[in-house]
Amino acid sequence: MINGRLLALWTMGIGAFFQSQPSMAGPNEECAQMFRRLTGLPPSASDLQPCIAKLSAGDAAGAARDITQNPYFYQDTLRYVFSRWTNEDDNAMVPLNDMIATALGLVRDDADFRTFLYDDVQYTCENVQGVPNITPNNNNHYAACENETNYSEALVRKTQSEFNQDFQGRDDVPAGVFTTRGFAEGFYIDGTNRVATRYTLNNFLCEDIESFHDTSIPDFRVRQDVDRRPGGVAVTYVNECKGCHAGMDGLTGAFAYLNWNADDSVIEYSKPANGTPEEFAQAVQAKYFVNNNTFPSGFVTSSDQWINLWTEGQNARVGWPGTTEGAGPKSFGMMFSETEQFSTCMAKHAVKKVCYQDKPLNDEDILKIAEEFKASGYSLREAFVQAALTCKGSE
Amino acid sequence: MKVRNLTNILLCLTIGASFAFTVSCKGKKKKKNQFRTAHSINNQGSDDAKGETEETSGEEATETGSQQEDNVLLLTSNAGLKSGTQTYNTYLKATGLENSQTLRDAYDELADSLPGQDHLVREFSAAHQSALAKLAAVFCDEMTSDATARLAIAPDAVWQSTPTNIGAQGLDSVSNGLFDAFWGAGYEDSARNQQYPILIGLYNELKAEVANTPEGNRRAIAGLCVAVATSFPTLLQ
Repeated sequence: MINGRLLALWTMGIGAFFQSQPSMAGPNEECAQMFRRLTGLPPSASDLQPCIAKLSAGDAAGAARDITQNPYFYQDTLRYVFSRWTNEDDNAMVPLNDMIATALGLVRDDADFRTFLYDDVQYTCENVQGVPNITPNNNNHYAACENETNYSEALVRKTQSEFNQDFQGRDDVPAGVFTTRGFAEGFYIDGTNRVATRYTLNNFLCEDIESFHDTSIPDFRVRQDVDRRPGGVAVTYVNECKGCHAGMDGLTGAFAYLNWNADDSVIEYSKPANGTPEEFAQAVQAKYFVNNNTFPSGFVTSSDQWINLWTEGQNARVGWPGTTEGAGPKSFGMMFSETEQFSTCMAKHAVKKVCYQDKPLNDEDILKIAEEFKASGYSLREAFVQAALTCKGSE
Repeated sequence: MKVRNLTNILLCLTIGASFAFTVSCKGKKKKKNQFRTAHSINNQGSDDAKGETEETSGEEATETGSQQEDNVLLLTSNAGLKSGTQTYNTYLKATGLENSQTLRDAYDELADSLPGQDHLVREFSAAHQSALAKLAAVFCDEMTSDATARLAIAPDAVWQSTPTNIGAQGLDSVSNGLFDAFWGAGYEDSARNQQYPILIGLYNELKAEVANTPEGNRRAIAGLCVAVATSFPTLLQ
């Protein structure tokens, strides 16, 4: 009988939940819904009062912005969006690291979120007492900060070059997320560094590599490790492999000097400060020459020059900026951050987290939120605010 | 009527232990458009769900399968299921407890069984419900045992009562305290009014299982606490 009561409470509770959804109610319920969705917490009456006042006065965006000042907007909502970006498995349940903390800090400060992809910036938890100092070969500083429930007070803006000697006095690095320890551990480990390009597309343009498949572009940048006759069939390369590799390998040159050293648990940057072309070529990470006998006539990486071959044809839809070639991860990140699709992708992430909808990039709501994101000076907070307003009242 | 329809549907779902995207509840014959008014519980968390779930009203909903047009439901909603971390934070806020090692250990032990970060209601499973109940039991036991924290739910006189002398006013106080804490503000009175008699009924059954002492009363209230903590208004957002 008790089980029956519990079942009734549980199931009737669903009815109560939907009955109280905003489409049937006023500012009180709308504010409650926005609060729950932006923080993951049940609101108290005092939580709702300022929101209701602003909503009643017609300032819905202001009401939502106020809610984003709640510590749990950072602690949970944003944190588990950003943590997914740190690994190939799309796993949100990973320890706090420099990559996640930096993204959180940029949102807190309403900074231009495009800088996440190229700037010399790193947020630390130095305001938290008792945390170990930052060292290049472990994550102890951020792990100790993990249970800090108020990131909005804990995070301090610093520079990556302050903590990594390899980056000091350089123009080409640091490069935002691409030179964080968190990104390196996820995407420069072993392999060929192509995965770094793939997850740049995934996380910052919201499309996987297959979406960029285009066999019409030249393949002069496809590296030596790609078989031109897989299974003895050349047409397979032409119709399949080339479609992704031609563009991807051209871009992946940007990471030629980057590696994750798993033994020492450090990010490696091997580019000499100066030298001859031969010295620059010799400094390229060994992973760029694995299986180089597969097709010796393939492209040989001799520097961190990269080129974007996806600017015309079907992939022009991304809205690429003027500069489409460069050297190193900084210019690479800058190009991606200046695409039109970066903005729509950030809007898509916000809607997915706050509204639980995986809308396409060309959805009307996504495009509208992307415009607001741009108009705010690329404050990612605004994308979440606008997302909360977009689905406010939905059930 | 709306809620009653929904409850029938959801009981069907619960008994079937399934939150399948398309749910067939044979034997629950309804008129063609009757489900139009029912709120639905599956959210659109992925592209694959979208195409089929955008229209659930009227004839579109019933034309999905001509043979099953009266007993196939397409259920959609934009509501999201709280993740395990959000539920943990919700319980912390609702109970007013410090983020102690005891609570963190309980969470760590259950973390893999709690809902993930996708917030998909359609992925809610019996394993989630079980883990949530275990987590809620730890919080509710801690909260009802904490002389300070429990005062946020009900005044001390209630906690000093026995199951037989707690009285209607005491139960009213406990119920409202729990709803306030776990559901939060922003729920219409009618929503609470529907749940209230169920909660009181649960207390009356629980009190038969416990000693007629303040400790027995605490244990019964802890039971109510678990029930509210694992109800959908706590778990959905």
